[in-house]
Amino acid sequence: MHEGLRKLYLGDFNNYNMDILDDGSVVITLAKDGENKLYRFRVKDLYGPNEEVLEHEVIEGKPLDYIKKRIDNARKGAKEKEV
Amino acid sequence: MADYADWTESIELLGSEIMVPIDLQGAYAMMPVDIQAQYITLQTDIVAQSVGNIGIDIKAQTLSQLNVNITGSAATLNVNISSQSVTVNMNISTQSVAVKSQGEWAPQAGQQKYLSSGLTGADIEANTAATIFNYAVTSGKTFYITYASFMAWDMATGTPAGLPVGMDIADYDPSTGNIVRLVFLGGNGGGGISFPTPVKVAGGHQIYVHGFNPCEMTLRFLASFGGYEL
Repeated sequence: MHEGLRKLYLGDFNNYNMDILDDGSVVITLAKDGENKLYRFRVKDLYGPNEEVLEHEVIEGKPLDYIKKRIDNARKGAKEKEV
Repeated sequence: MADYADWTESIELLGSEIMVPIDLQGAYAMMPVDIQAQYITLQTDIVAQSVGNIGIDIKAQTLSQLNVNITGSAATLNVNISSQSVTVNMNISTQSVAVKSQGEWAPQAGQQKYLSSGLTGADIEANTAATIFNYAVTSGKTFYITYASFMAWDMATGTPAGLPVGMDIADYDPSTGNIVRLVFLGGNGGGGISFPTPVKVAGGHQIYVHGFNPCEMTLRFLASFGGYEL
């Protein structure tokens, strides 16, 4: 079973989006808060007897370098202020 | 301190009203007490610095009052009340304790759920209704819907449709093939509502969100609902 579909059936997510396509298949996007990952998959006959995953991808979020630098600088500044 | 010899003495008290003052001044004392009278007043004042375990099993049919006053700086109080009805009055005066409703607690416990159509939504033709999206409640859990919202766009002009439109949330039970609950919502161009009493949907049921387009042109419907699943 694909990871995205497994998470769907276990309820292991906080955010759920569904797009219904013209051919009757649906695209589901799942995300769990704090996990920094998106599970996107296209399914035919979702919840039906002939359910089939047609496409599946896991998108991993990466921290933006320039934001990370700003956070590091902010933390460093706060530490210097404490001293 | 005086030096006392060890001794054991059985005492049998037969009087109907008896007061027995007991003053134990030894460093350690064990006093098993088995009280089988029908009525009893037992006042206990434990001043020791630490008490390991006190088990209380009250089997009386009625207990008029049970006062618990814990003045220690840290306390764990496990209360398991299995009677059919109970009134619990709580007066929490410390600022370090937060008491939250389930709806407030769910996001902190990671049980919150936000569901929606994608941005492409569903294009619904004039004077028809159609599914915008659906979701099957996780088996073995229950979904509590606390809010729902929707909006309709006129894709011909690319603007929100300020026209009367509607949506429903249908609780569909696949095992019987029937809709067991419907919640309707309407408004000009869309609408939103929060439910003080959450809409409860059983595990395995499917939640369908339908859009109703009574207008004379095709409209694109976007919808969402959410709550928590336990």
